[in-house]
Amino acid sequence: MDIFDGFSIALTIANLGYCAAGVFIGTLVGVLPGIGPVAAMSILFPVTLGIPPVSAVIMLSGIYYGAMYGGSTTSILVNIPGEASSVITCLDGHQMARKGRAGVALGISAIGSFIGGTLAIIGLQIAAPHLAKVALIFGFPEYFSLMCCGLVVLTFMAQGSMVRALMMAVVGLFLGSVGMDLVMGTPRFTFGIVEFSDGVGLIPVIMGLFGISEVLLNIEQRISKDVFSGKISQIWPSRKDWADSAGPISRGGLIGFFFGLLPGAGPVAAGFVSYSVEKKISKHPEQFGQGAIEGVAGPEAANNAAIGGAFIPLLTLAIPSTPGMALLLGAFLSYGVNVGPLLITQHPDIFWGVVASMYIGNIMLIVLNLPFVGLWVKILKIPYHYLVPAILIFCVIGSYSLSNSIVDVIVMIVFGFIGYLFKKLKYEAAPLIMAMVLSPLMENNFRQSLLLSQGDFMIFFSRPLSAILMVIALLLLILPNLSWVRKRREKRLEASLE
Amino acid sequence: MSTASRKENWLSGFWIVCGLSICVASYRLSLGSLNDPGPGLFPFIAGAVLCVLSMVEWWNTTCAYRRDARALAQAVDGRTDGALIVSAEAVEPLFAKRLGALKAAAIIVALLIYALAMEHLGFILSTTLFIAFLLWLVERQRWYVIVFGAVFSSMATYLVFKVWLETALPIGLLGF
Repeated sequence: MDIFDGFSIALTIANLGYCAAGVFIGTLVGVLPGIGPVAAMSILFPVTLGIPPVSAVIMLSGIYYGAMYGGSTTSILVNIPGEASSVITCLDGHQMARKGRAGVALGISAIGSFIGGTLAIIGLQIAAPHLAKVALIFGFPEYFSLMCCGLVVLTFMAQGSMVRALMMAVVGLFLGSVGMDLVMGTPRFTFGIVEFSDGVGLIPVIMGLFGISEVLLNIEQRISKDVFSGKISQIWPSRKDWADSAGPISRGGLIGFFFGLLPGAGPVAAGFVSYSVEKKISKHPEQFGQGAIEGVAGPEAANNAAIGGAFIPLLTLAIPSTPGMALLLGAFLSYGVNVGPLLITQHPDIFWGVVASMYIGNIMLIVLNLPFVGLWVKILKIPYHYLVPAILIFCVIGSYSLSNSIVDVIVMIVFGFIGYLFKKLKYEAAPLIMAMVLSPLMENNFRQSLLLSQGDFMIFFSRPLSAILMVIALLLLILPNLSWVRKRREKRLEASLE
Repeated sequence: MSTASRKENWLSGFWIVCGLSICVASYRLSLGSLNDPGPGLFPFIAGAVLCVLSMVEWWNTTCAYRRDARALAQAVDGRTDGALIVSAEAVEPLFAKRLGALKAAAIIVALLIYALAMEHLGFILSTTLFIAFLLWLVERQRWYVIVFGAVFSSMATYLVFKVWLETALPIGLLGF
């Protein structure tokens, strides 16, 4: 099977419909501040349980990469990021709008997103089958070391304190161990609640941490939107705009793709790095922050490319690099599809169907975001207080319908409150989610490795690949604590803030 | 010690208690042996690592606030004892916007009541009451907007999810 067979799957009427629904909802949640793609994916997840896995993944992926397009519209017109990865677009995108170039900013953002996204899909299509072949040599110790390394990289890339991020990852590992022990069938930490014997539901936890908590925070801080009221004209960039943007878009695409591969880096970091690179190599860095088109084109290409890159570790190694990918991994497991090196050989329809649908979805998105930009501007003007009941009711229905149980709803509400406190106390939820989804796999590989080595922990260091991964993890744990590294990091952070 | 430092230390203490509780509960589940790991071994390690990290966090925050306070004291009047100096960050409360925080708390309580009432009152009635409460609480709408908005939204949601998408929703004592 190859990409052409993928297109024959993605181009069926039903899958085109799911793809269109996904990218439309993605753009919508990207445009609306206060609800992100992860919350939207978790709300819609129960709806996908009744459809074929390939269609479900096409729709959920569409929401995720669609939100990257939508988020920039809000950044440019309102100066509030529609979702986290568009933060950096506010700097120059909104300045362009204030100088009467809102149309060009929206245009180059959509085009940059399209090119960056497409480059990443080409990378995914080429790299994933090769990486899957390499991953086949992984045994239990290698897998455990890879997951340890992934979690440490994720916490290393955390925006705040690394210790706190590690604490969140450990809490996630514990939450993932709730439920029936896979080897002996012993119930663990269920407190007599029958619903917990299959573990604490990942989807209600994600809905709470990313959906409910966001609503609570926005209610507390009251989002005030000052939507750009000027006329949006000349969306297509001029020849000079093209010349200025070509380099940033291609560099942004590459940066985004590689950042997508790293756990925890994701689209947000990709956008920031692309912006810093463009500012550093620009002949007129003083124009950055004043409406430089390079400051929009590069980061937008980067954050879209990061999504394509993030699919590679997910589909070939079952390692999610962002919370959205963690949700997709949970979704795959719910559909009974084992993600990992064997996905491409055991379920080629899913792999190639999803890759092909991403090409189609990107074309749909550029149509949605260029000719229909006026629609999104109108949607942007909906007051937030009208959205609050809708988001909360959708979350409640979504969590209830997972297993027709009120326990899942309670779990979602409790984690909504916990997520709200985490945000106030500057604890990141992403490591918790990723560790929670990896926990059963990690535990299984850990126990199998110990059985294999008859209790010798050195098995993780005596096999070359496992040893390399463990050494990388240990170095990343030690490095930030060395004073000269810490000083360099602080200096770089200060420079980037300036 | 500043207010913020104390808050952070309480938080570290909370995490240490969590870690210890996980360790104790995991130990009771049986750790097994390294040759044959039991169901409690993996969560036990997670609990132990949480304890260690919480202690590191406690140490880090304590050192950071002492350092900041000393630097601030030296900058202000040359004193080196920073114990009584309260930095700008320290005096900023966790819930700076009290009204907003109260609204957020009210929404959480309302959500819990809504979830618990849903199986008794049914989806339509409980959702109507919940939306009415939200419209009143969040933006203080007029009474007819509240009534119309709540009834219309709950009916529309019911039609979309129950009738169209055939999602399972709680029926309740009244049969809908």
